[in-house]
Amino acid sequence: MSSNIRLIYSICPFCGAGCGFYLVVRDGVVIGVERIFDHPVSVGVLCPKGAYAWKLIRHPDRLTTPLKRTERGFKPISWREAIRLIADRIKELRRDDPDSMYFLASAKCTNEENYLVQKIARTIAGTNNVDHCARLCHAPTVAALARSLGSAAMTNPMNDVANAKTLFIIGYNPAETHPAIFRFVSEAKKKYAVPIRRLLLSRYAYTPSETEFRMIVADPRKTMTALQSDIHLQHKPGTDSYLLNAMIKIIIDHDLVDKKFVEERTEGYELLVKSLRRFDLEYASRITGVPLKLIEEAAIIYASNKPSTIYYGMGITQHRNGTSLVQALVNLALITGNIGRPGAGICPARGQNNVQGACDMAALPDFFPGYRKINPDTAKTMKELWGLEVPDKRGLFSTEMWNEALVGKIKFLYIMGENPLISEPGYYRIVRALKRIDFVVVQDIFLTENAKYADLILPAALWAEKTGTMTNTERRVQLIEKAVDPPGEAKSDLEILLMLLKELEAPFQYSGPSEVFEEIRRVIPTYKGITYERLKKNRYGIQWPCPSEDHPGTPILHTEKFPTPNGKAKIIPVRPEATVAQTGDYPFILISGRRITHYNTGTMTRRILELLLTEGSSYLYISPEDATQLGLSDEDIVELETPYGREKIPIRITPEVPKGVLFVPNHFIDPPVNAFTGDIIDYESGIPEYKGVPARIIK
Amino acid sequence: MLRLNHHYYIRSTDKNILVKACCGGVVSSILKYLLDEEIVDLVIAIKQSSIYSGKPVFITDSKEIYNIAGSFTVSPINIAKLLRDYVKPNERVALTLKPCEVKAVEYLVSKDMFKRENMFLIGLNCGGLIDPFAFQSRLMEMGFDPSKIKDIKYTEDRVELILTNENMISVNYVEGAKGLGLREACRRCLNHVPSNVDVACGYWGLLPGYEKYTYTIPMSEKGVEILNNMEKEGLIEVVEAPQEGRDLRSKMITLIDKLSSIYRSKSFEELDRIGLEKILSRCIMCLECWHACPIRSEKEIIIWEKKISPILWQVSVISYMYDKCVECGSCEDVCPMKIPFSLIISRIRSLRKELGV
Repeated sequence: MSSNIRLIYSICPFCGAGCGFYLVVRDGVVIGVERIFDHPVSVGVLCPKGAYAWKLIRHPDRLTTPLKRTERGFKPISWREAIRLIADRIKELRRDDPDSMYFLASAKCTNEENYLVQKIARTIAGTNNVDHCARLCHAPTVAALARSLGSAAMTNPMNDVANAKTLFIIGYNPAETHPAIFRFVSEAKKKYAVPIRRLLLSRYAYTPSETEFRMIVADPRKTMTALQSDIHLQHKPGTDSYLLNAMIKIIIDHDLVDKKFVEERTEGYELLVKSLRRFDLEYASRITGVPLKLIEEAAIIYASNKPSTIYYGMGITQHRNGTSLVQALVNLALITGNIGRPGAGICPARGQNNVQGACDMAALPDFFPGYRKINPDTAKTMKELWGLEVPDKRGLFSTEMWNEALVGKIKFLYIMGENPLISEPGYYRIVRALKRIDFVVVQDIFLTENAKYADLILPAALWAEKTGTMTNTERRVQLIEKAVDPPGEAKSDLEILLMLLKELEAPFQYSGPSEVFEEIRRVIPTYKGITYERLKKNRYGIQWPCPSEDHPGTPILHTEKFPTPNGKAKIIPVRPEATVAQTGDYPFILISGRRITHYNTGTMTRRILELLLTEGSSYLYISPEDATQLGLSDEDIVELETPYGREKIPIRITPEVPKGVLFVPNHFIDPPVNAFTGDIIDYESGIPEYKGVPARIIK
Repeated sequence: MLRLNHHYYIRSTDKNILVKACCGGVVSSILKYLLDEEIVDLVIAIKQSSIYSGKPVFITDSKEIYNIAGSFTVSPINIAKLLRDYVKPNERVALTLKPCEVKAVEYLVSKDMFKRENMFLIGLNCGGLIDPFAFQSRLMEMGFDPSKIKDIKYTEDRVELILTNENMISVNYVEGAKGLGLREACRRCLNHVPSNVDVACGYWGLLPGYEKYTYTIPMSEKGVEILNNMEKEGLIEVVEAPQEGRDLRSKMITLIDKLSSIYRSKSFEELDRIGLEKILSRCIMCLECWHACPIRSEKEIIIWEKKISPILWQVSVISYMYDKCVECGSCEDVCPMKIPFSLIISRIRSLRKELGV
């Protein structure tokens, strides 16, 4: 007899692109994935991570029962006991010292789950100490875009790249990290492959040669994306603010500013002009290491070959001046009027599958749901919405929390689906902090490196085993439904939180994800028109803002006005600053990033055999020049030292990195790249400075 | 009595199927019959999920055939790949295949992965599939909003777009195909008619007045037997295809072959102009092409383990595929870097022919 094979719609659990695929389920077991050719994001394409994601379901390493730390290792306990332990601890601490509790939500979990975590933290525990890994990737984006444009999200959908004539990519390598997005670039390249058509630019001694579509990539590395570009600005790490200010100055000097747009829709342009009056282009060229002519060419193309879209990634945000850098990009887009039209926008390519959703749900210490900046007024609004008291002071950023933990001020840490030990900066510091915290709860699908330091481990369900909504980087809210049952006693994060709510005797209780989502709709205005029924009908999701149930969703933001108080976008001058420099003691600059087959801390990808075979451990990428100078050959093991740590690491010689720059992928644990990073953070957004650590090699 | 390799106009008598069917509903009727009579256990088909694409379905209950009747799916889903990945070797299965998929299934059979006697193959005439994204962007270029299109109807040589305001736009399919995002692999395909199947179906060669019939050719003893039994049971009505109809069909095939040949040589020129080395250097080793290929081997892990360079990987793929590739173009559909693998293989094949092997 034949078996019953069904295809169930689902979303890839890895990056923020939110590619849709069908899970092929035979008799309750997932046996593969099928691509969807009309999905607006993936259009039939997956990357190796998505193609093998299904192998995580039923993985032998999955956690199947709650575990409690005892003197003789972890011991299985019952759910009842585990939940009671947590509830008791929360009850005890909320009386004495609510701010000694900390909740880490997860960009891997659904909107409903994140919403519940922050609601529990704010109303039951009584603290705004809730955060998630957006702190480590796009916190500056949230800070800068919300301040300047009024909405902290990608302005245009991904497939809109195909409408752009100029694509400016900075600090981002979509060819490897988001192949699905890069597909649209390939598409745009083909589309504009028309023989010579002269642009107005010719008077600047620039003649477009073959195609009209131009791709400008700024990246210290010669990435796969950079190799595809028309202009590659290979600037030194940490000099992005000089590069961007130089581009802005060139645009102003060449009179390529969109004056109508600037006048009608922005404010603060005069300040920008004034701030750049003394800006020295020659010096900027010297400090960035990019020839002035090339910067000029890039700036002119960006400003005149319109519409132009900016894509940026963590190469921009993970700096001590991350928020300023995002602001500089916003300035660039605003003065040229490249926003709010098809093909013109500013697009932060976000990291995790639901990082946009987790931010929308305000699993953030400085915002209430709906990006309401925390202050006594918004606290009052939230009180009206929830009918419960909420604290009106901002909580700690997760990056600040570790320092507090080190001095014993954090007593309770609830981690839902994160692996901060590997992802947060300063590995040894985090180990010490985790040991110092009295009670650490880790809720995860695998025994992560971090879980080894937990006092209580709760087995969670992964994406295919639960129902809920996820919001991808282009604000597309998609519904996924449970395809298979979780293994053993594992439960979905939502079920666990609901059990905790019961045990805490909370004044709010829910029967399931749809009920939580109804409340989300009520609290967050941009989600108002989205319902489970609509999402079941529109499998490929609805893009917020969606103010009413008959609204089709908004693919392109800011088409008429900005959601700021006066409807205008703010141009804010950015101070040029080189965040890191080669010195005599530390002649190298260490940067980190992703590889195509792995994902973030590798909790999931390092457990997939096929992906592990491509790359399985840390390597130090070094340029051939530097290797020759140091007398090193491939696979040699060297000792890498930074002001924060010193570890042995094998090297790989590749022309991908320029002279003086070292690169370590951030997925591996032997040694983790964060053994080399420190505790410097951006004061505005709290993002750690991962990119640009001074380093030296000791043989 | 139907005879082997004779041409017929056939129509289903099942009202539920006829209502939805594009032509005579013969394919759906045969699938339903095969499941009802327990000649096969499983049917792999594609159910139209939107106007641009479809969703593969695995059917074991004959009633579900009504759901897929009339699905005229144009998106590049490869049934041979579905068969290979999800069906157990001993399962008896009926498939509706395009000519390139038939070749892929033949290859799988030749490698002993499946048994031909366990399969019932219905071949379809194929004018090409559409890449939904390219289709939508072409519509936008032509000035239509893809979200404003309510329905698409495919007739013999035209595509009719029905807009939400009930207006209709009609585009010539064969010539306008370029304008409507026909896949590159389909535009240069020279393989429009299935061979080595049990029954071949299509709508090319239907004369006026016979629009609600399916042009059917039984191509194996098994196919003849099934169709005869169905006729005996009153499930289908059979008319011998008139000579004019057969002429029309061959004319159609010649025309589409000619257009393809022209486009084929154009693509070769384009490929030569851009240069192979420039194209191959784009590869990011995501292996999507490999996963999409219906005739791949299962050994890709070895390639990854050896950590070879992208160029070497592609050259080894090309040499592995040289004698096997069915030019279905599945690899091109999924490549994020738009490397036209199947075109490269076609080009190498044609060059090799010119060298006189």
